[in-house]
Amino acid sequence: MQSGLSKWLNLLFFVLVLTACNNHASEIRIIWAGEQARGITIPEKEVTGISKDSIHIRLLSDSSSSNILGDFKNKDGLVFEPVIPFTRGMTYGVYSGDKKISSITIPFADENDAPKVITVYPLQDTLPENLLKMYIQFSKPMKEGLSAENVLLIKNNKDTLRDVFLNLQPELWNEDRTVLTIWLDPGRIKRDLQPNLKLGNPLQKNEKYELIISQNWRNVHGQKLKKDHSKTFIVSSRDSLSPITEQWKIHPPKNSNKELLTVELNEPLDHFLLMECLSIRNSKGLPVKGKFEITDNDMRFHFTPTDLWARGNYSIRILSKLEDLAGNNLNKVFDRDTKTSKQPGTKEYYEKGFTIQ
Amino acid sequence: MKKNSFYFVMLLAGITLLAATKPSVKSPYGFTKGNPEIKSISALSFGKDGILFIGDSKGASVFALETKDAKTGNASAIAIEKIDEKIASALGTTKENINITDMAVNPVSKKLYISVQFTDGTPAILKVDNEKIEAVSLKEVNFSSIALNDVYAEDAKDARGRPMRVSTISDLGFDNGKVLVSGLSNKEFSSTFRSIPFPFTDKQDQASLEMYHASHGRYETTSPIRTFTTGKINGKDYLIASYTCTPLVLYPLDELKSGMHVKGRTVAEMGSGNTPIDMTTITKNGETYLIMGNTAKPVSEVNYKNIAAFEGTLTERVAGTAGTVFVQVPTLTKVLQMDKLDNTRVVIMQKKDNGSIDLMTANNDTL
Repeated sequence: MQSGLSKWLNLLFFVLVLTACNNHASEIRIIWAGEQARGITIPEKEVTGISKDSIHIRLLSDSSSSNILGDFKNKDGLVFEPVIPFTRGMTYGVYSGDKKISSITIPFADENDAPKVITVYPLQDTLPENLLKMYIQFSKPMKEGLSAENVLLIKNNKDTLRDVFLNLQPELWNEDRTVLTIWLDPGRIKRDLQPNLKLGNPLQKNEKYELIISQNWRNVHGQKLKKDHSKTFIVSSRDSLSPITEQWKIHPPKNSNKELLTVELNEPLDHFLLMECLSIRNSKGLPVKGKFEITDNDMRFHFTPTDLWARGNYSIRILSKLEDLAGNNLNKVFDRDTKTSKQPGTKEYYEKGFTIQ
Repeated sequence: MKKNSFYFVMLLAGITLLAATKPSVKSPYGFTKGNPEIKSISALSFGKDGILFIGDSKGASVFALETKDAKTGNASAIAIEKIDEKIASALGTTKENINITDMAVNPVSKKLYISVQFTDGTPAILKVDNEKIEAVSLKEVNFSSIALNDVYAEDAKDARGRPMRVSTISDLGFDNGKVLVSGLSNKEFSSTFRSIPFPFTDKQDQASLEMYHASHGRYETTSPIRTFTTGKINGKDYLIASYTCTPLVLYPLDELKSGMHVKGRTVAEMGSGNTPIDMTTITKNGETYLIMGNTAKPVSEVNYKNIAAFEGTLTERVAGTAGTVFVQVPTLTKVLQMDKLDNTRVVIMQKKDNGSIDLMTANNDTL
């Protein structure tokens, strides 16, 4: 069940422990695995003559603290690995019964490693009234569960808006906790729902907004952002139409070398969905290997094939779940009126052809 | 040079050691012994024989773990004040650095299991036994796992080759040999619901669900399920699900199969501005009641008899509440977690007005 990578990481950890233990230092040492303080090694001389069963570790700053859960091992000293890593900036005591033998402080992370916001999607400075979601991309893995208190939306430089974003627990982080998806409350965007009737749409046309990401947001090691991040935008009309791929403009490569395929979109689309909804197919419908790049504020994409293009027909396959900024996908609009809207499409994907001469 | 040789020998020793600890032992549930690579814990639920199912959102997987806690135990009431501080202390940190992500009572031993996530994402499972907090080992344990099916486009990966899609598991359950998983994707605002036979094979069913949100007169709603349970109503097995703004919706379990688009029957509207947290059942005067814990509303309870009697579906717009009659328990507000202790009691993790997070047991007199 263990992946190859994790085996090698375990092995690396094992070697690091050996390296640390081979040092014959006389003080308690921290066992690091990346940036995590995964354990401590208590030198043999500190615990000579003491029953190993009586030894335990406690958080020092907390007077009512209990023995920390974890495993002890004998490896050139006494090694303690807590269930979760030690916390940066905290001091831990080694006890025999109620008697403190020694202590160690886990250093704070390097100030130069403080996280920052890289960008906020959508990239545009004019956004539709029914904007559905935003993505915040950070330079470092961030602590979860803090978005509600650290993301603020201010209208016309004065009013801080409440209940604009959907409070989701758990929050929608990517695997390494560097990209967070936040939803503007769909209950307020969908017309006629109670939250919409009571509070109105989260954004109003022709108004100016500032999204502020507070410096107080901390990363996984407790470090604050280097500074606040701000994005201002103006709100335009509601977008009640599905993206129309017929209006995309294809600039096919002129010949069969590795030239770029460029496609201009008729409106900005969801950045991360664009990344996963596109593929290029050859005349047999098989995927062409290559690399996509999204530019022009998510209004254009390019494709460079890994191998040379061949002469003949190709197609761009677009999964129907691709959305615009208002959550309208190729098959149906986000806020569908069951009485007047047309029946939603059922296709899994749409295709647009092009030819290499 | 000498030092290098030493490291080389130790490296070989390490490889040998790793090879020696490769999973090898087989069990009736298809478990192997090893270290489950659990990346996060969003939801917990027990199956039979003390088997704990763990929903891993970050790893897009479900794990089944043999807890070896399968001895029948007495269900004694659980009451612990400031449980978050006590858990943090046992883990060597402070409460700001942990998130309690779910809890589940082992129906056999009646011990309470709590999942926690450290600030850097490291997950942990703790067992509460008579106020004593113990760690549930995730090393060298018997386990199996299944990756949740998800369709990625060919190029749906970032520069480091990882898929960009993020899913969270909102709830997990076990019913009649199947692990049931409700989820939410970060891309489309809709529900995924999976039914996975256990012991795990390659098979899993994924149905798309649609319900009519009666506080929403005219427009279609495909929202993510927040919590669910299963139950027999008028002799038929149903998935009983609830969503933000609290509609209560029934889906026939036998229809939830791959490729099926199933329309649910909305049997109650239990109030907007609220997210349901957990659902379970208790017995009172010989009748079964559905108990629902909420973020903004008090704990609500619905008699199954009333759900059975409500044969229609809400299709007209309603303001406030409608449909099947339910009652609220005014003292039980701000519920963070809830699970069934036995037929007459539930364990509740509740945020008190003074900010304290406490564990308490509510019996069918108070409910």
